[in-house]
Amino acid sequence: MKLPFSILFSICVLTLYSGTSYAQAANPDNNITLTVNQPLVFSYNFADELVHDKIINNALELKVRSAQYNTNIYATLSLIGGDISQFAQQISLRLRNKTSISAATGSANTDIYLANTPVLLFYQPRMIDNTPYYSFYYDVVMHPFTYQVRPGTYNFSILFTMTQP
Amino acid sequence: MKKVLFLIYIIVIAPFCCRAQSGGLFSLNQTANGTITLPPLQDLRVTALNNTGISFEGAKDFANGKHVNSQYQLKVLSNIPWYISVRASDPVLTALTPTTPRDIPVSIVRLKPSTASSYINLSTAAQTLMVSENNNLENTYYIDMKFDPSWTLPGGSYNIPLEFTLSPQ
Repeated sequence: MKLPFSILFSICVLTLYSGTSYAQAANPDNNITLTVNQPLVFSYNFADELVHDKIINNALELKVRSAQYNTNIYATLSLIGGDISQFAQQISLRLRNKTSISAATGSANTDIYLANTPVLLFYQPRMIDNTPYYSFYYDVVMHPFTYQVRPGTYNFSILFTMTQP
Repeated sequence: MKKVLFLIYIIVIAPFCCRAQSGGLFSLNQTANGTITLPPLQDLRVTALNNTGISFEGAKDFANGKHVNSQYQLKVLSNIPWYISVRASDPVLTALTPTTPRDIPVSIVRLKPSTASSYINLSTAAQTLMVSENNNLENTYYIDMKFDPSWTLPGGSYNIPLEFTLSPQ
């Protein structure tokens, strides 16, 4: 069966239209920038450290601009070359400060435990003032280890994702 | 020509459109990387729960031996399999009073974990007292003691030269 060119063209246009959001990913009105203020390095020298929190204060600053859309910000933990399951309930982000008064972040100083699936950090409604961006400052907390975490060197990454709800 | 244009669309443009649609209206990412350095670590805390000393209070203690339950508390912290050994740092109990006529051999002192049934005799050679038996980072144990002096040993006050050592298996 031979489709008329007009139909094919319409399909193309419709698909492109629905995909315009892809172009919006680069929209300067909605973006996220991460600044690592303190290196995320956790070193252990004494056994006693294994059973106490280790905190890197003010480690991360997330700059969020949401001038066009409401946004959700998620974080996902991944372990590079290791079994992520042994780090369940191990690493959390603790909101230390923020410049947004409209973000739904939950209580300050509450730990948000990271996992290998996206965890919602906060909801930021569309900005209504002329602020260029809102800043969110996070401590990174390493919680007491379990015996299941074997001695070694582990590399991890925290992926921050901004999406439209 | 039309077919060529359509093929170009299908191969080059359509995948990008589909990708955008599957991730919601937009999705922006930022990543922070970090490192955890976790060496093998061990710590042993020994606490004498009875600080008033152990007294022989009658002939029965000499005849049957003197039992002291939970004389020591051992707190073990280790992220690797471990064992604890015990030894006497001196072959004799150290006399505290100068009038004590002679020293007493450490072999009259016997020890065991409170959960064990048999004692080991203390000596200057290290003996295994316990080994790790679970996957806990922290464990607390209690050590029972027994003293089996003979009737011929002299009275007096003595120190016990005990040495506990935590080691990796």
